[in-house]
Amino acid sequence: MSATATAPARGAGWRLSPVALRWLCLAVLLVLWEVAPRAGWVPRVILAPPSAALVEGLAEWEFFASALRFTFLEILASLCFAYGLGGLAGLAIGLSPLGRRAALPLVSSIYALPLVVIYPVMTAWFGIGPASKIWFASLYGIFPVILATAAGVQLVDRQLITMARAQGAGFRLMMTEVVIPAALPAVVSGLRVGGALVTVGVVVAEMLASTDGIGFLITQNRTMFRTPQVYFGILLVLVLAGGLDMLISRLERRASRWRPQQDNRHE
Amino acid sequence: MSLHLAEPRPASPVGAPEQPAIEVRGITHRYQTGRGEVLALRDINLSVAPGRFVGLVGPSGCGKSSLLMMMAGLVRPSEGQIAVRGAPITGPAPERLGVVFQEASLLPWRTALENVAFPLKLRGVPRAEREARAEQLLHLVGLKGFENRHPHELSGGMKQRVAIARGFCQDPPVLLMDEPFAALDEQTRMTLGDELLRIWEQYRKTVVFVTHGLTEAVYLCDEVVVLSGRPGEVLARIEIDLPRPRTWEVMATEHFGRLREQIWSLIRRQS
Repeated sequence: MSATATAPARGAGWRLSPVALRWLCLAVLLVLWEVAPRAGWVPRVILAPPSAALVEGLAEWEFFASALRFTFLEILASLCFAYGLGGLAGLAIGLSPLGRRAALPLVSSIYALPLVVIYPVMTAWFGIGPASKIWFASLYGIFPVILATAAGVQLVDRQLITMARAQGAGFRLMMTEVVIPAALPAVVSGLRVGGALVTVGVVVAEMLASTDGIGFLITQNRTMFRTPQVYFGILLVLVLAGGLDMLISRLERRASRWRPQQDNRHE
Repeated sequence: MSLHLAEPRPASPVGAPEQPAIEVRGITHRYQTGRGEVLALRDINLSVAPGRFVGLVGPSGCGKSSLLMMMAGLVRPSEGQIAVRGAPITGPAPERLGVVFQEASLLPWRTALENVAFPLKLRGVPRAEREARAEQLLHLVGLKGFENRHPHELSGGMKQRVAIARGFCQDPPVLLMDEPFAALDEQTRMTLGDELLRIWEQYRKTVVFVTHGLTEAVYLCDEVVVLSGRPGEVLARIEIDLPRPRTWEVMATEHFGRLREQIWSLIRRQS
């Protein structure tokens, strides 16, 4: 009897798709989170149940909403810098052999450093307003974008470039018609990592020194032992990060739509 | 078919002597490697009359592909000049030269139709106009109904058909083909050869066809230029005086065999 004959029979008894399993894990975690503090397994000062976090948080919604908007705008501005400048820098580095040899090792080493240590310096330079957050988060998120763009540009099929050159493509059309579309799937994976780092950068910077934003509210509530509000702030950050990631996944799917199969991807 | 390619021209124009479609004068090419300078081509002189189908054969590494890339304006020769229709080649000249590569080199994120229309897009031809033309060309190469497929959905032979259609897209008087069928299996290669001849009979473009398939060279060409091993020099120019239009039966004739044998003996002495 071949394996193909037995496989469906096994599948019929146990049909839980990976997606369902994922949601099931999430549900179990949520239930544990709710039950653990209520049952007294964990002190409520340390862990507030999600229902309490929602109730207490929504009671102060205006505060959170204005902080959320503040944080959102900081993230948006940082994303523009990290993606825009990072993409341009990655393109320039990836296109020139000298840039690859000279700049790429440097960029990878800086990427490996814990950049958060320079945030205090940035507050000294730019104050504790949004400017220091945007500077810091842009810098924090720019490196994966540069690296992914440079890598994507390098991987462009040389034959396609020769073909386009034979058709008389100049620099601009070569970029828009060949290099950028070919590099896009790799670039988007860099945008994803860069986007996550920008979010982390903004929120951490707000926690360290600021006067507004979700990170600020989380820290402030924590010093006052208002645990449910702390968790509500954390939930908001999760929603923000999740939303951004979803947006980029959609872009990723669109960028690699022409590829044979989703699971044939090499990233 | 209302294809707006150039008017089909008679096979052998009578009258005033035309200027050659391609004129190669004193091409010598050297390049640097880690172990010093390599002389790839030495003093190549060649003239191709308009409407001729000329093959370029020679042992591996003789520089036949390099010579073609020089004609396409993609590689600058160390010495010498190439003129196409009287004007020197100093860089890519897509209005005068279509190029078909060994790999189909299709943009994988574009459909077959968009790939064929690509040269026109680069020149800013409006979408409707360029796609109408690309559609006609896809029909010409037998790919009706495949307009919206992406390259990964096409077989190797189909991809090469798309590449040939793209080569025709700007209606250039000269088509340069760099081992266009080398990556295909025998049957596909033969079918595509016949298709290419059919289209060529119709439009009589000047074709320079690099290949290492001797049967293919004799079957397709009016003339086969045999290059020597490195440094590449023109060893012989063999006129293929087989009647046209050609069909596969011609391969079984004694004359076909003799021509093929003649080319092979020239190349064999080189390697």
